[in-house]
Amino acid sequence: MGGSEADTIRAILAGDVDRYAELVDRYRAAALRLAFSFVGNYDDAKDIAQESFISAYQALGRFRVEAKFSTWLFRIVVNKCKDSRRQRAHRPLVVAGVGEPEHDSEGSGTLFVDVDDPAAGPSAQLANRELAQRLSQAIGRLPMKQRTAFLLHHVHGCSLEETAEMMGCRLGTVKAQVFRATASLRDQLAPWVAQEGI
Amino acid sequence: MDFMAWFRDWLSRHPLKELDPSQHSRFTAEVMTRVRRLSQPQPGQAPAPWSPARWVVWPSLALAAAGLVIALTLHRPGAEPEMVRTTPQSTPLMLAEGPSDDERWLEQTLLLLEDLDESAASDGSVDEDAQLLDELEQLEQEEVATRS
Repeated sequence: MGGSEADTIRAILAGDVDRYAELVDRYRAAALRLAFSFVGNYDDAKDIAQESFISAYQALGRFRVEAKFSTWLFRIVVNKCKDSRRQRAHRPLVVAGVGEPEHDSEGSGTLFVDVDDPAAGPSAQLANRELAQRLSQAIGRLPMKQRTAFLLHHVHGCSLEETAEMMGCRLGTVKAQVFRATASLRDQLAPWVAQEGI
Repeated sequence: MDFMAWFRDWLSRHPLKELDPSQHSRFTAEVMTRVRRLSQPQPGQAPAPWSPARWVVWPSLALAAAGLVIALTLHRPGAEPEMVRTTPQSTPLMLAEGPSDDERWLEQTLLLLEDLDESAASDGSVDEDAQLLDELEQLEQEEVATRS
């Protein structure tokens, strides 16, 4: 962790509460993205991200200043996402309103930004949009551990070591989960990505 | 192209959705409102104001309850004999100070010495010496008489 961030945390612990806003501003977008990739909608993601910042503040006295605040915060986010998923275990995971695009405020019903290639034809754009939906669904169908490892490592760009730290498991376990998730996604998406020459 | 290479390329063109940037400042403000509320003492945690009822009624009730428990314990059937039985036997107190071990040892030693002196005086060793001297003197006189 950089010295300035360590100083910020020391100042907060010394009573300068307002400086916590610096940490919220710095990691707000990443925490929201992470929560959104798990729960599939921004209302829940926002609640989870806010609760995670509150929990992090309450436990800040136990944080080791030499560690990375982001890794610590994201671990809290992941745990809250798992808790949220457990509470809704009786309901199937709906990723960003997949299958119900009319109810999705984002309009596309996927985890991903729908950036259509202007040069592509209408059929290609439609296929691309469908692929985005299938990919979101496939990720949502992965078992929780595989989904966590895959999202943290391949979507959020965390190293395998950071992923293991956030998941609270061994490096070998993370590698195995990422491998299984990748194989599962490849199998599920084979019909749709075949046309792209994979 | 393998699947992961394709996926990374696809992700570069279709990143994860972001929260509307206009809501970013509101997000931080909401978090900070709750953080400041947490850092302030809660009204419920403040000590209750002083009131006569609190300082008179509750101690009275506590004392009454304690008194009741003591009374029930003392008047429990069979409680008294049990208490008598469980009371340890008192040991008699020595009001006068007895002779110490040193004094007793000294007294016994002196008595032994007296006994020894008496026995030494009464065993007749002095007479035996005198008799021996007399016998020696008599033998010497007989020898002188024989020579002459």
